[in-house]
Amino acid sequence: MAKHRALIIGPGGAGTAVMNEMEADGRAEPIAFVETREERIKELKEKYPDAVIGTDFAKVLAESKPDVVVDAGPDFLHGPQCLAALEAGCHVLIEKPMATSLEDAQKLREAEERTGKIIMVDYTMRYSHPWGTMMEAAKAGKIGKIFYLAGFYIHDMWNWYDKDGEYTTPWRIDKDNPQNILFGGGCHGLDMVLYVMEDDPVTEVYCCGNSLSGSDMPIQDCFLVSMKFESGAVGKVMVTSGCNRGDFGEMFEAYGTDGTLVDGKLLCRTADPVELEQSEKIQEGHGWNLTVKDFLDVLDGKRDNWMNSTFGARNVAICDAAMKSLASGKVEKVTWF
Amino acid sequence: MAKPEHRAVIFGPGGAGQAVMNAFADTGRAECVGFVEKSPKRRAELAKAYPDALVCEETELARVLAEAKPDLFVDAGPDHLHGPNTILALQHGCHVLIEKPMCTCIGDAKAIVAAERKTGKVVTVDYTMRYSHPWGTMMEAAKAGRVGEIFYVGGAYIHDMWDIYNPSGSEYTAWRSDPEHPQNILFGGGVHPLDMILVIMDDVPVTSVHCAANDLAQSGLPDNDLYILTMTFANGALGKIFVSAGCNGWDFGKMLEVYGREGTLYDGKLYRRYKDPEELPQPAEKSRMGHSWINTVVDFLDAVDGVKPNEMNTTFAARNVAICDAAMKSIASGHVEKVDWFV
Repeated sequence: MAKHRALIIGPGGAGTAVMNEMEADGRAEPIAFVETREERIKELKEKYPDAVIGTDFAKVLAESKPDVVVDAGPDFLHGPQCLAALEAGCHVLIEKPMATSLEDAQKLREAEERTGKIIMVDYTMRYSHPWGTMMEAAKAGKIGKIFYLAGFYIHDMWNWYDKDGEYTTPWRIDKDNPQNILFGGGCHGLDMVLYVMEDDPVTEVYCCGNSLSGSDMPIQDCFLVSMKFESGAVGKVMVTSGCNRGDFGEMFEAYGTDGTLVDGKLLCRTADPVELEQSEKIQEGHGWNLTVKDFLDVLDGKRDNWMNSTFGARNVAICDAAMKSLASGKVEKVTWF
Repeated sequence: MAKPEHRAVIFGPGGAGQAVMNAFADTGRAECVGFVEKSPKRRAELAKAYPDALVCEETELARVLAEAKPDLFVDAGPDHLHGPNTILALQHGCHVLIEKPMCTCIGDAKAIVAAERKTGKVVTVDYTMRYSHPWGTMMEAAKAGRVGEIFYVGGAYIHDMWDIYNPSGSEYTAWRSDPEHPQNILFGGGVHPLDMILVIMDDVPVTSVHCAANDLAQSGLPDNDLYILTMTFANGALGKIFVSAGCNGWDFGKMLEVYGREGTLYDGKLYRRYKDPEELPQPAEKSRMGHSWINTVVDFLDAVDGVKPNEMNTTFAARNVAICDAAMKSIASGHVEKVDWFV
């Protein structure tokens, strides 16, 4: 029997990847699921006959009594669901974003402190090459003092938004609660920016957005956020999920007094460009296996929680301020965690 | 050999100015009859190479225009002088070719446009990157509708100018880092991609801009050398200009990208959903990367001679200046600023 008992909310793409990694690791097992799709429920019942499976999170939580909750469901539910999970004594692994409002982020932070449980937010791109490698190089000081950073989420999500698309995910384009792709996608590049700048608060943001791409997303699918750091450094996040590219574009770049990190390379004035080497802990694409290992290691006290709620809450706070800026048409201050 | 039809005065016969002089000579359509140059050494070189021309100091433009009686004036000198120099040259009856930017404040832009209308002379602003591949090629593809309705367009001027700003640099240009009138690299460099964006979006006004900047790169420029400018167009499209002249080791990266409903133009390629990326072929008239002054000069002379329209005209240039001017106001105020649009 595994040490940890996990309830999985939303065993779709990310949720299933986490389940599989938990089982492969052996330190955790899925014992409950929150799922609404009938076909998926049938699959889960066949594979996990003893599991508690339902559509009502509160009931499944109460009945299954897990010590770990993995929230890979619709973004707007992350806040309230993870709050309930913490209150029920669970550690939580949240597929990014941590929440979709400043208020929810604040509540999660308070609950984490009150309960002593762990929140980890899965910023899986930290583990991906070359973006995570570049992030680590910037963090390690390879480009000196940073004066500009940018994060991008350039992802053609037509196949996710369209009902006939290969990866159609109805909750993302739900008219009542559509995914906000700044919170849900822009958070990747923004997380890397915030990780690199760690102790340098973002003081203000300006954001504009539109919904002109023709995608099926019922709200904006293009955002441009500019940020000012307390040090005077400038940052930018650009998001487009209605772009016509069919792939991921660049995700991160950083400019410093001693070098520039772009496209997986380190550029310096006095030397030829250097292609950054992929380290062992960094892989291509999503790094759910590494997230799960790190999460379980944190629970077991083997490592620090490097994707903690401080980074998660700061990320939410900036996106929240960006949405306020979008509504007001003005520069907005950021509540810093 | 027939005597050239046009007589030109060159203000600032340095890199760009010399290139224009060479192009005049290559085409045989204009001769240099006067020079205005700050450096005594360069003035001596010019006097030797052009014994019949009038060679003067930077403060003597009015005298050169009066005595040399040119019909063309080329301004490739410090950016902040473009405005007053151009107005003076127009008043002396010259057609004017200005190395970008047209000027560095909206007041000068309005005055140039008014002087141009009053005199009926031609003002061409040299946005040489329009002629470059892949950027100019992408610009034309977007303009031709190959990406459909555009919802986002980004421009960048990422140019490590350390060698240009610093006395020990291999391409040191003193006026750019002059403490009293340093070059504003948003006007002087960001102008390139901004021009391409304005060509693509043509009749869609930029309504508001926000700009953030800093001078943390230790580049040697005594002013901001980094800008991030966000634009909102009247149709809802978004635009961005990123400028870094203090970047470390990167020259001319990613000058233009365009996102439309039917495709994306990025790094010289056309991306379309469900199709392989298409490398845009280099047209014969486009040069690979870099400057293309010969094309500018031919187009300028053709516009002066009424052979073709003046495509790099003051409307585009004044809009460009207006956006940069609003960006500077935004940096100063910390707020979003409206743009004084030229029609």
